[in-house]
Amino acid sequence: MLEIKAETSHSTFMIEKNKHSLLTLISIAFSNIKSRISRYLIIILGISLITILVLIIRGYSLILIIVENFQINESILIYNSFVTIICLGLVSISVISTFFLAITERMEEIGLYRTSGARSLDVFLIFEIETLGIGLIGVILGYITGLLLLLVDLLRRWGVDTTVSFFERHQIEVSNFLVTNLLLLIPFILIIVFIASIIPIIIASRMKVINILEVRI
Amino acid sequence: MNRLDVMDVEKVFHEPDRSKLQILSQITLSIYEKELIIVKGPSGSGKTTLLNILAGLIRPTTGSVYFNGIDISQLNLKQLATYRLNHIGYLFQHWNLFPFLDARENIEIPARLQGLTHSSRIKKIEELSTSLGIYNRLNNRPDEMSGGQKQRVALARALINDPSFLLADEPTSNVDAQTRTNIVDILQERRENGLGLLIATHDPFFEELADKVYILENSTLKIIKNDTINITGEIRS
Repeated sequence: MLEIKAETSHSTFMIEKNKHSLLTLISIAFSNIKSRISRYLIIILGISLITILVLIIRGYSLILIIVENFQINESILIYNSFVTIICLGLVSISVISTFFLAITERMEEIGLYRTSGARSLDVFLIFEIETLGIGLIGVILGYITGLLLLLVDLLRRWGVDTTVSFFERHQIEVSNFLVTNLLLLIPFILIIVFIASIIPIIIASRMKVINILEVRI
Repeated sequence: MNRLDVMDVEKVFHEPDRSKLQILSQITLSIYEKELIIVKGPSGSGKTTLLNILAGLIRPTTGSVYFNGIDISQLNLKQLATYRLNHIGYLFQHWNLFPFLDARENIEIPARLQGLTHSSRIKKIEELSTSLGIYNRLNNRPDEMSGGQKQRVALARALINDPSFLLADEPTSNVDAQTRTNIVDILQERRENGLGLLIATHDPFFEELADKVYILENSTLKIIKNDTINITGEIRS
């Protein structure tokens, strides 16, 4: 029997770390987004729709309050919130299930990252950055589209002069609206996307590589 | 000198009906740098399982695998990932390429994970793809390539981090004669630069070049060719 003598200490693998940075993982995640963008269109569309929906509901509430001096009573507020929550819930469930399936069908890919030398944490981060990136693209597209739709509708109803003077007279309310909604929507969407992706990603990044790839090996 | 040692390895799989299936039994072999070892054997004999154990993808039921004296079967998942990233190139029989990434991105993944700079990655990819004859296919996805091209992309990916050892499962099974020559040439060149190779294949082309040829049958490994010289009790190529 051969006698094995350690030429290097067992601590070699402790010292010899993977040298990539978070930036590397971000760039891998964005390569993935770029290469799968057509597959992600439905999810991006769904997220954009949630964003547009929220912006339009909140935008018209603001306009009603400012322009029409509309007094929102409690029953209207409850009804409005109820409809919004139902819509958001339905769209969120569909985004979550689509994301869940999209990640689940990529188990093999996750196994390939692991065989290529990626640690479980690397795989987790690559896929989380990718899904959060998709969420961010969707929310930004939806935000811009929602604002454009609101603007176009105001121009159509009021004409250019009235719309411009409205923005001039209510600069504070408008800028509050823009900032508040952005700060509200981005975390909301990112939380939905995170919830949708975390379970399959954790399962896959912790699975034994061989179990993920066994159908092919 | 880099070396991989397999010591008395056994692998038993548990079937769904709770019966045990012994794939490998009392497997002992060593691979040194610059060495080419061939493992032959009928389909299902355990060749891929042996490669998987050496790559740290599965742990042996009993026995140990040492890389430069370090028992890899005792490493945790994080350490195994580092071992694979820096020391092992694995060429799968069915390529296992990332389906949505083009050839360049596929080859680049291990180099990115190793933290290589963009310019050194580009340089390495150009060198490898030119020598493997896939330079003009770098922007194609796997579904736009032939089996031989996919095989070469997978080989480039396995070699990009300059591993100490390449584990290859039937590397020439899906390729034409020209591609096979191409693959053998680049492996020989890498071997001269220190790469150790363990190849599961039936290709006689490799057998002629091999230092040792083993046959894996009935879970055990038998040597059928040995071109190495025994000096002072230590097997060296």
